[in-house]
Amino acid sequence: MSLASEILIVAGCALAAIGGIGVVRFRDVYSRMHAAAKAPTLGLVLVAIGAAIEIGTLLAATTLTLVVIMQLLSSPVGAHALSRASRRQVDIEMDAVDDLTRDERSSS
Amino acid sequence: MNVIALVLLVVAASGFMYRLLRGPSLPDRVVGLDGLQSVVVIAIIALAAQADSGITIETVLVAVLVGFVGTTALSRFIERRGS
Amino acid sequence: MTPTHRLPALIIWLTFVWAMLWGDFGLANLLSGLGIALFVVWIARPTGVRGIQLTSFHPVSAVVFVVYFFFQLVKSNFQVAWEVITPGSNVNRAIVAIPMHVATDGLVALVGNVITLTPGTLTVDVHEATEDGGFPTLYVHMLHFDDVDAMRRDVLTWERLAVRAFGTKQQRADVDRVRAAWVSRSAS
Repeated sequence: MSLASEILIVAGCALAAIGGIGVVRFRDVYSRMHAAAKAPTLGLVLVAIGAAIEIGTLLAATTLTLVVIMQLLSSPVGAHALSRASRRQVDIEMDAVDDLTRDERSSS
Repeated sequence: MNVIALVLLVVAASGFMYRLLRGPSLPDRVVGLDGLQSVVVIAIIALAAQADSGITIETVLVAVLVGFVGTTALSRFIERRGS
Repeated sequence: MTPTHRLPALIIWLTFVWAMLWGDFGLANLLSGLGIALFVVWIARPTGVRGIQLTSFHPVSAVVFVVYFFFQLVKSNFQVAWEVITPGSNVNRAIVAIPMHVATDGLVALVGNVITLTPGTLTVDVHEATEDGGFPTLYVHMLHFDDVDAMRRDVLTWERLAVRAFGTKQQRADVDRVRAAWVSRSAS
């Protein structure tokens, strides 16, 4: 494997590991969503670039581009759906302002 | 696969699995599941790079879509039925 | 403000996806992709999909958007990595309401998605515009809450980039007007 693609793949896997450690260490649900939505996404992008360099065919490059686009679209939407749904179920503490609760209370 | 990459992926997967098993609430577990889906996708692509074959990447497309549908379906369930 | 759904854009996009799946951009493959795209759109009529909601497309601005997006994605991951490594970092969590200045569903979704991937922010909810023609409101969860105005300015930057790449002239004028008002207000 060429050096560039090895570095990229290792970096991508390192980002996934950071995401995994992040969901263990962060203390509330929303912070864990931060880690789970951002770190593996960039990790996937790096690994896909490394794999595209390594395999080298046009088919692999276009398929990996599609995978990256799909992940970039679906990861934030999944995090948003989850965070919106868990607002009612989970007691989440905030340290500072909470505009959403205030607006929900004032409109209901 | 490169040993370092393999070890990092195992660390990632065990982190998400810990949250899946331990997470005090259902959204925590869904976070773990979503992370596991991403780790699986990364692992398949890294393996494809190691084997120098572009065929197995087709399965990744399905994995991304199924993972996304799973996360969203679980979110809808949480919204309606609670933890 | 009725959004326009461009059906030809959707068909071109589907054909492009087909060509990417096969890795073959030859004419025969593109034609069969076109046929499949038309077939898929015809079958999917009950879902209510009517097309892509891009009102215009400016390639240079789109490239600027994508490049800025990748910079922000990398920066957000640096921040996540730093949070993970430093033990017991002090977080100041908050959900802030950010009124938007564009009302097209597609642009709101794009900006909301991008905000999730920028440093320290996560889009939690979107409240629809009120009936008297207001604008949607984004509710953003921030890990380090220090300055609401900085957050609003960041969102306006994203809106400006998105509108320059994908929005109508009217939307561009709106966003520029808001930005000019802010700049003059902060300068005085």
